[in-house]
Amino acid sequence: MDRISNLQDELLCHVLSFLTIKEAALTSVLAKRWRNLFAYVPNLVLDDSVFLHPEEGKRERDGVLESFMDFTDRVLALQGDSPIKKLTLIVKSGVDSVRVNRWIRNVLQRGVSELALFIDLGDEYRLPPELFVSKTLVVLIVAHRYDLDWHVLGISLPMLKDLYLTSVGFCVDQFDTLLPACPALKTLVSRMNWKNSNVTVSSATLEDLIIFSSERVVNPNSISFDTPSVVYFVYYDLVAEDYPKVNLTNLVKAKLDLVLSEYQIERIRAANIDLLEDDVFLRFGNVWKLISGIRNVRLLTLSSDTLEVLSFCCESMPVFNNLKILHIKSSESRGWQAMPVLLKNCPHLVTLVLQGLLHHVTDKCGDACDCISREDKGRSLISCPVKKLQIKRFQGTIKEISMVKHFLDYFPCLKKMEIYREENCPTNVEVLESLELMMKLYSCDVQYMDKK
Amino acid sequence: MASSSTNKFVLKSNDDVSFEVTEAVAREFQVIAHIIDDDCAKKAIPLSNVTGEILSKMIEYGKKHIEEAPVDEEDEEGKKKLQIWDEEFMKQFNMEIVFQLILASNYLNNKGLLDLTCCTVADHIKDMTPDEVRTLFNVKNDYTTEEEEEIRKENSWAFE
Repeated sequence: MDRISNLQDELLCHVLSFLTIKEAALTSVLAKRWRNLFAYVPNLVLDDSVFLHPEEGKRERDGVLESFMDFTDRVLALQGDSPIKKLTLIVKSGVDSVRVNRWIRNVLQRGVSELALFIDLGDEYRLPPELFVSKTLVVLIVAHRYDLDWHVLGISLPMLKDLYLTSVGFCVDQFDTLLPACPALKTLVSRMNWKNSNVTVSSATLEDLIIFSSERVVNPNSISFDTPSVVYFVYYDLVAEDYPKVNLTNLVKAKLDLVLSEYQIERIRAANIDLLEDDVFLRFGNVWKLISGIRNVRLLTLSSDTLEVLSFCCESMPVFNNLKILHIKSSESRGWQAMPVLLKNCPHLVTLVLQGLLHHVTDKCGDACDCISREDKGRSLISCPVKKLQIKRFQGTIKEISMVKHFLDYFPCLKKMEIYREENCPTNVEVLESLELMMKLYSCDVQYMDKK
Repeated sequence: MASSSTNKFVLKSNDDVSFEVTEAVAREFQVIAHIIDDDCAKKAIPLSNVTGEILSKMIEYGKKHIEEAPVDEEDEEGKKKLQIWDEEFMKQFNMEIVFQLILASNYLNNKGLLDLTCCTVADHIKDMTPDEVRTLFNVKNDYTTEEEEEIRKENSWAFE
């Protein structure tokens, strides 16, 4: 009995939809009935570099790309005007840009709701203008470095919920017209080139905002976030000179990686009260506005650079009343100047995660850490209600051991400490002995384990 | 009115095997949910296209997906657990049974089981040459040699 033929065409197509279009197309030779079934898949992925029998340089071989283009033409022709849900198109140079845009127009006309375009056809290539006036697009992913150009038909994407613009060079005026044109936008993931501009990211609907800069050369002039519905915020960029408006009142989770150049870092460390005219302080002191704008956050992750940048706001650090989990990455080349005030200003902190303990020693050390012997040693820890401390990338040095002891001595509410050993770090017998001793001496539950 | 956890229904296969299930499990199958909503479910619900053997497996699947349903969209661990169970569940069947499950889950309209069974077949076909697929699924090649050559040519990129 021809078992699989018991299934009606619709079900056979459903089976084939779990295969790649290439795998599915192989079934065209099974029997006459199968000849065109493979083409009716609701999610179409076309990648010009996927081969059944991969060989070095195969993509560039005579006729191969032509055969890819013919295949794509044929699949789309077979689909006719039936609805299509999703198209993923991955093409590089050698593929005809006119045909690429014809494919994109084809699925747009058929009401496609998800488009993922990884198109690398050189600087001259432009996406078809119809893309920016789609009434059906819900998800749009655009990768590669050409400019987005919607001047021909304008831009209006009423259904768009998720927009991923990775490695797209963005001009600011484009950005200002983009967001108003997407009234339903919930997720924006974007790589942007701010240059020396004044930017306002403004949207009432955005919930996930993930932005990172594409060029790290010049600090941006001014960036505002007027995005009151955002719950998840990831921001990875050079520090801007000003943050005039930061409206992130519903924020739940944030990850910050704010960067300064090595020269600027040096200037921060050298600066003191006598040098008020110091240019770096004058230029980047406004970062407190950003920090103040995210103060409702419940889960905060800071990079080691950001922690150093926060030394600008030691005087103006907001109180993070909602913050329950604070995750800080440490680096041996970055300082902990802002650590004491940060810990003091989290009155409801439950969990502190320190990814690495070793840091650059500055003259502000000696409170949250025990690098320098001071009178106010541990003072900021005493008011911190943290119950659980996770230490990651523990390298087993004597210095880290003394910091562990320092934390055990001064965090008054600490119930649990988990120390994760850095991979490939030999465990020193002395270190192990000290840890075991601490496990006995302190009521806090101390655990030492392999990397999580 | 009794809640859906205590309300029971009897499903009857085409070979007269009856299964008593809770309303929640019965509602896992869209077609049965409609019958319940239309208040036509007073007696046993006859399912003319499903054998007792297949129906018992479908009920096992439905029960598991009710009992172990992920708490919410974010419950990655719950989803993963159910996914592992799904994989194990499918391992016990030969292809004949899988096809019957596809037909039955399509008939009773359970999207989860339909996707799972179709995906199982797709995984089976993957990495096989057309000849192997023909043998496995007993498909008769009704092309002439010339026609088959023609088809290979028209989709030549797929065979690269």
